[in-house]
Amino acid sequence: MTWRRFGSVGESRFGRLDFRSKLMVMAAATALAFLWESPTLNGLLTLSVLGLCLLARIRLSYLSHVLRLMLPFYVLLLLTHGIWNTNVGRTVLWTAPQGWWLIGGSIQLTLEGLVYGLMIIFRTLTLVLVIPLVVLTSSLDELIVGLVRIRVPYKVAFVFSATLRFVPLLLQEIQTITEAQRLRGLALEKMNLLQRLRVYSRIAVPLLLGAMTKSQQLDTVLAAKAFSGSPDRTYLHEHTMGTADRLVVVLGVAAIATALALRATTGIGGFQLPGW
Amino acid sequence: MAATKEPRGEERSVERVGGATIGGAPIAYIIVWGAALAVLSFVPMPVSAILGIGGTFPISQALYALVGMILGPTAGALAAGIGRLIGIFTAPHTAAAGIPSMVIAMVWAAAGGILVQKRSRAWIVALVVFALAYVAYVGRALTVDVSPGLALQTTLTNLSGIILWLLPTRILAREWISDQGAAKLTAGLALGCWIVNACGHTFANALLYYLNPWPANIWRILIPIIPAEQLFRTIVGAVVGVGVISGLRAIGLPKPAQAGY
Amino acid sequence: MTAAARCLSGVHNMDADPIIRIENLSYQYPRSPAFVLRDVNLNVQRGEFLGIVGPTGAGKTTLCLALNGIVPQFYGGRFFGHVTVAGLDTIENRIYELAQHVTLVFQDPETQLIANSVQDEVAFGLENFQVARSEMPQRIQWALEAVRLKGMLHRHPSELSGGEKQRLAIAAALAVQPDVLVLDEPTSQLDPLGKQEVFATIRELNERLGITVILASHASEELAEFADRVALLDQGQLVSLDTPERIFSGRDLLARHAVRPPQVTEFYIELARQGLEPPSIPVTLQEATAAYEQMRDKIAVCACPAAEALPPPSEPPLLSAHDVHYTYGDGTRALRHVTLDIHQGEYVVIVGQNGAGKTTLAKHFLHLLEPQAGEVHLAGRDVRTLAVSDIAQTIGFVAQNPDQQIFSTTVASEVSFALQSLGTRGPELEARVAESLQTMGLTDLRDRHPLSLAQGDRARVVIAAALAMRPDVLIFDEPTTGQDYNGAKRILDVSRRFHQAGKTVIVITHHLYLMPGYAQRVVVMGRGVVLGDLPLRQAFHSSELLRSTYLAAPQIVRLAQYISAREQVPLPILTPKELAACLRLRRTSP
Repeated sequence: MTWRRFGSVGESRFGRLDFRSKLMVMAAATALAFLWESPTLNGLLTLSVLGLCLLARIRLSYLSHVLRLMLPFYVLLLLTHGIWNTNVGRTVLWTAPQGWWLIGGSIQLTLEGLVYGLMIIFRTLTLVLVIPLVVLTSSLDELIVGLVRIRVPYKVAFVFSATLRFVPLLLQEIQTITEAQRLRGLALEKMNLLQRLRVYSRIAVPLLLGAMTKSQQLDTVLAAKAFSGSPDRTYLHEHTMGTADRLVVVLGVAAIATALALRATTGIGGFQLPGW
Repeated sequence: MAATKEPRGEERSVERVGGATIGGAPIAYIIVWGAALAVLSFVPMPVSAILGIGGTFPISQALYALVGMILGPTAGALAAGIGRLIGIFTAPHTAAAGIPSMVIAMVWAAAGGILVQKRSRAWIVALVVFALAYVAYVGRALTVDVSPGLALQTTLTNLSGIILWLLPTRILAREWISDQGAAKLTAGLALGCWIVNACGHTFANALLYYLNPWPANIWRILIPIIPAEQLFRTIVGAVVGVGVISGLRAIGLPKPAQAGY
Repeated sequence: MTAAARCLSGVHNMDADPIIRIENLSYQYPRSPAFVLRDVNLNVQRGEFLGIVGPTGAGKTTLCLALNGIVPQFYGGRFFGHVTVAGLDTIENRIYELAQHVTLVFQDPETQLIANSVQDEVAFGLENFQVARSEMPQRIQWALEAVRLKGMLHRHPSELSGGEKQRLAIAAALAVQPDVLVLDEPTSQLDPLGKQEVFATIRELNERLGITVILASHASEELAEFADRVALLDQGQLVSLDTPERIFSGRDLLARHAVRPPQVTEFYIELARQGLEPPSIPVTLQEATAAYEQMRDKIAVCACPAAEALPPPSEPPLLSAHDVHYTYGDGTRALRHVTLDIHQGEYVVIVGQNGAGKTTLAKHFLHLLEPQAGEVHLAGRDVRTLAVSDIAQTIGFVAQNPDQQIFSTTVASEVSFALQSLGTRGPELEARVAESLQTMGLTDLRDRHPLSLAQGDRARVVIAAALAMRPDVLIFDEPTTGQDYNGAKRILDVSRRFHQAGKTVIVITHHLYLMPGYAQRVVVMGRGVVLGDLPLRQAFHSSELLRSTYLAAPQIVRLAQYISAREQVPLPILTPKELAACLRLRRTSP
């Protein structure tokens, strides 16, 4: 389960930034996405994040894969706000013709509603894309050292790294457990909802118990390697902030502060139909 | 071979140091729970509610309360958070709120852990947090054309969680969970999971609703859906909980310091 | 003075300055009434290679953990006596201090690797010990070179083979530059190739770099060859501490403590019983051939059991695979052109190194996987038309790791699990569960939680659960891996009982040497292809074939081949006893 396999290809200027600067980018993007309700601003934000993703050479196939998975949800978003958002909806664009079964005459799409839905799509896209942007473009050791530098206890950073290490193993366990259940005569295909619910629980129990039992060995291994979770340690990898990094951090903080100020004072960032 | 004769060697005074822990739980437990939660986020539950933010919801969602009860609030929150984070970048569509989704999972697990603590005032802090979350959630709804009556109907489950958290039912759940008998354990887990899930859901919705204030008609549709989801999560949590906790007791694995069982 | 000489001269613990000094060590885990170690006295010399043998539960692991303070500091409990390592007492010094002198390598290749790259794995210990960053790269390089993993710095552990994983664990333990390297059954989860790699590595570390090695293992043949001394542990007590020659040739001693001697030793002990006493009992193949040369003029080789041909099958096969191809999603070509027929009542063993496709083939029979080309039939029907749950009533599958097949809270409910899924109820259910429990000797344990039982018992629970469905076929996947000799025999005995009742048995394993007396037929697989399909006796002596899939012929076979070449007489034997039966005291002509 190497990073490279996921979505990122090779080196990029963005990727070479220190992890802390990338965290700043993530914090800024998340804060702005939350703060702004304007479709224009959120749209610009999403485009910027997308642009950064491309700049960071995250694989297009991964990006389109994410988009494809989110599509049904986005369609639903557009429709629910387009039809039912009575808070902002004013201009009716389309009414379901009378003849239509059930919804004839009563379902209306409003312009504002649709645009609001679009704004939310932008928002969630930003929030979703910014995580692979930051995580996939950093190697694991950058992540660990970066976290430690921002005062996250090493123990916690280590738990993250080790969890990642064990995910493929547990994935395999689940498969083996599922196979073993099928061999005991469990026919998932023939089961109703409630029975299936019990079965899914039955997969979780052996997985968790087995994992906790195996983890005993892990604790011993860590002790044998003199790991006490103490912060006194050295690091093989070294990562320092360069000028570009400092610039990014300053810009990030400035962006959040400015946006906050503007929103509070002039209402810029609130929802309004864009001029276009 | 009888082992009754005394050892020849001199007895030494032993101080148990144990291994590295976070929040009272051995690090290894946190690691494997985090990995298990990450992996279980691929196993979907047969019920899906694509409304609100987040696609079909995975089994791991039903287990956040449990991880807190088993590992304790801090360790549980860490495991839940890391599990969620890994789930986010391997399957982004299950957490359309990005980092906030991770925070939600952590609060959810922490609530589970806090529920089962004996001598701690943390429950008051949690109560305040959930009450504020409820107010923020419903408050925002009221400003976007949701009538108070409708808001109440849809958030009955959430309210029930907060009320049950406030009342001594919380203590009842805690005592039943630590009971060695299977019947009380099951009841305790069911009650405890209901309370924690309802409160966790409140917190989650407070954040998610801020991101996506779904319209009044959706509130109507959610009236039956939220309790159904809640029921499923609670049942799964209780069933898995009984299996895991009775297994842990039978195997005799070391219990985390802040565990509730 | 070499380490070996030092050991031999001071074999009875009377030397100056041992690197490890264990004095009257007894230990009791917390909440446990039994003493896991009792009055152990042992000194280990610098540069020594010490082997530790003993049955499962003897206390080998606890002894290993006592060497760096994990026992007792990690667990607590009651500790008696003194353990001193490089001058440091293991109670008065923190594990942090002790772990710089004694590093550990554990049995399970998976759970002892905690990092996401080879480089980070080796660096982890160094980081914990606050080694300066500037020093780390060269230490890492040195350690990886010593175990021959150079050039794999950035690989993820999941990309490594079992043998490579263990070598990585050794490298991580080595980078710390300890005085003593302790290994607790490092090869019991590995296939023969991995085992060979690991032993070669350890031997080199001991001989070339002079690192003190303490190795607990069931691998008698290897220990006999490499160890300077061997300690026999049973029920927590140090029963004997001596050279490999003396330990492994003590037949009664070994039998009493459930330790298997090297096959050549078993052979010569048998021979001695027949009146052909060698000057000293050999414990390695080299010594065995040398001893033979010495005794040659006194020995006559007589008729030997011929390789019996298997009776030709009369009916159509029960399980059949025809030209099966299967490639996994990640591109691994697991099966190619596999054609195999198995008939009712056969006992077949499928051997091959890890990745040969053995388990994949079994999964095809069970319809857990479908062939991408070719066909698989069960009793004449294409398995694709059968549901997995239906096939499960005919074929019982016992996976390698019993814990992955345990789902219930009591043994009885575990055994009845499958029957309930299939709709059996009431008195019939009760009867069948009782029958299964009885067969596996689990009746007393029926209300216990399966995970609270010992490893060996858990395996039996899983077998009982499979038997409850009264299958016609039982497939065992690596049932002997990780087991000691008695444990392995017990499981194989179950398979034999099943076979004698007229059922079909398939065992997947790479422990070929355990199969005489059980299997009749051997299917050799390598890299997804069936390389050979022969009667057991023939398979044992097809060295080329076995080598092509990185299996070694059992030690006794190699000795037999040596003798056979010398005497120009075919000796297709399977066990040391059979070989001994072929040799007689030569009568001087009257």
